Amino acid sequence: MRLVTFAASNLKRRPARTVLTIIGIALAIGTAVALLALGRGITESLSQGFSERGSELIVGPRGIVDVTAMRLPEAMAGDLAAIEGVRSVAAELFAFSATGEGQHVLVTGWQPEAADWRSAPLLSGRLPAAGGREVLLGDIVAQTLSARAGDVVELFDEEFLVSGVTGYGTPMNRGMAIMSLGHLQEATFREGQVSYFTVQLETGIDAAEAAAVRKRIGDALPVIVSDMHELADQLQSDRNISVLRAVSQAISVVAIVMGALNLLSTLLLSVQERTREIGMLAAIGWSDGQVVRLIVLEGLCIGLAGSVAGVAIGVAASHFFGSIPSIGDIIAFAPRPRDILLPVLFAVPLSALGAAYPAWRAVRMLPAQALRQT
Amino acid sequence: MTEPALLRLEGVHRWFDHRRIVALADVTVAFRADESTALVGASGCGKSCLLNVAAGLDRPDRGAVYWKGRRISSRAEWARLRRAEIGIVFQEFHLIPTLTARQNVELARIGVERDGRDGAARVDGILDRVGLAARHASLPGELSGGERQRVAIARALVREPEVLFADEPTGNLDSANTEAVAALLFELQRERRMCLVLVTHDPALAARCGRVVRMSDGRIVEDTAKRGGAA
Repeated sequence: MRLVTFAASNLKRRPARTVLTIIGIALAIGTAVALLALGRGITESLSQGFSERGSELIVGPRGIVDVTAMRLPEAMAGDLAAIEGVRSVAAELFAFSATGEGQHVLVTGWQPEAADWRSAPLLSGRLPAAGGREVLLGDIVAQTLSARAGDVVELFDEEFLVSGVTGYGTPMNRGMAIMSLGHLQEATFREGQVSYFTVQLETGIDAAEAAAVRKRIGDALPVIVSDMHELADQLQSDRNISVLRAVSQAISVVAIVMGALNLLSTLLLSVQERTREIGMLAAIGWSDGQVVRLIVLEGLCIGLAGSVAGVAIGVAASHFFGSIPSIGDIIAFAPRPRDILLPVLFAVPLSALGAAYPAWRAVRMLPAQALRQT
Repeated sequence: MTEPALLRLEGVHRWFDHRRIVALADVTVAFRADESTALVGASGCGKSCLLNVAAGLDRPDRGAVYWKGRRISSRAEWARLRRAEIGIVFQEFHLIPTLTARQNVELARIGVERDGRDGAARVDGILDRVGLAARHASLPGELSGGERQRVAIARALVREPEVLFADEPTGNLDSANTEAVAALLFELQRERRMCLVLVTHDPALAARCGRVVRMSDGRIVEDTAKRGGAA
């Protein structure tokens, strides 16, 4: 018989207690997995959304640590377009608006001549008419607001006609309302301002030439130029996202530590109940190290079982949250291996640590003393 | 010629409750190979305490315990001795209820050796020797008191120790099982030329030993060898 068989047999003696402890750890790991996926999902959703629309480069203001506070003068579009190697420039403004139903919708404003209008995948209806107070809704927003082409929705306390519904593939675009830049600037009191520019380079240029164009832009204007990968990295340092990520990580750590304390209490109780048995093991020649290994192994078994169940809960919770319109509209809520690995790598050693104290208590007694316990 | 002592207690004192209770008072005694010794005396006279100190389950407050002439004091040394040289059987069998008879015996071999086939053969052999080969897959709850004590004896002997301590090994058994377990213990002692030290209240069991050590108030008051046994 191996030590692990004995450890498993000990855990089966009190199945309800073992299962409850595993559930405690599983919930902690599940919470951590879901929260870490949330923190990362926001930044990835933004860069995926831009990529889907064929954006190559994003030009934004330098030194901004709050993505919602990005501002550039709309007139800078002309300066950008004049730079050698730039094929087209589109200005965009974005803002969040409350809807009549008390939900929040990401609204973006595009210039009338932007190529994005022509490539927008329409599921129903048509593009907004020039000059009209009209809006395109992503399919998830349309579903959330129960709106179809031809309906009227309320954004920024004003009514807009839904001209059509788009069928983008990424959560950001599916959860976005699109109106003309002018209407959004007016509604948000940001006349002449945009959040960023999307830039497309001349076709057929190689990587070295693309880098040269980026350098020319950076030299000519007080802006930062990013491709989609760089954008995701830069968004990591966004103040709001950083705060959200820090809160997620703190809650994850608290959840996992609580899971480990739960394990500690279970093993303490188990060791206390088995004091005489541990005395017997010492009497038949088990060393202190063997007894410690047994109890730590029991802790590790619970920790591993809790981790496996926790990962399943975390993935399931992420899918569930992703299906809630107010969350799934904006965030790609799918845990990556890193989101799963981090809590597990934290929880499993913590389980061993949680078992170490009961193990130490188990071996500090003389065997005769342990055998006398009632 | 007298065998050299395997285990020797010298000037051993053991107190409890801040010296208010004297369990052992200046006890000096030696146990030799191929010798059966009964520790007898009234309840609370220190028999079990002497056994515990001799097996390293308890620590003397004063005095020393020697194994083959070498003083043993650390927990690790005692664990090594119990793993290889000393077997212990208790009145209460202390079997793990969720493990089979065979697995309970195997407990004593975890970490002892890496040769699994040799270990398995030893477990089979000792289970066969104590008459439990057919019941090796039974859980303790499915065994009679006598069978459980046989499992405990097998667990104590699977490592082929030189000394077997038995603390009231028949105390929880009916008369038929008492006789069977006692017969088994003495047969095994003779076969293996072990040192057997029995704590017992049973005069009949004590009478089967080659030596009787009588205790009173933590002291040895009589140490009698019979049929040529060492005193």
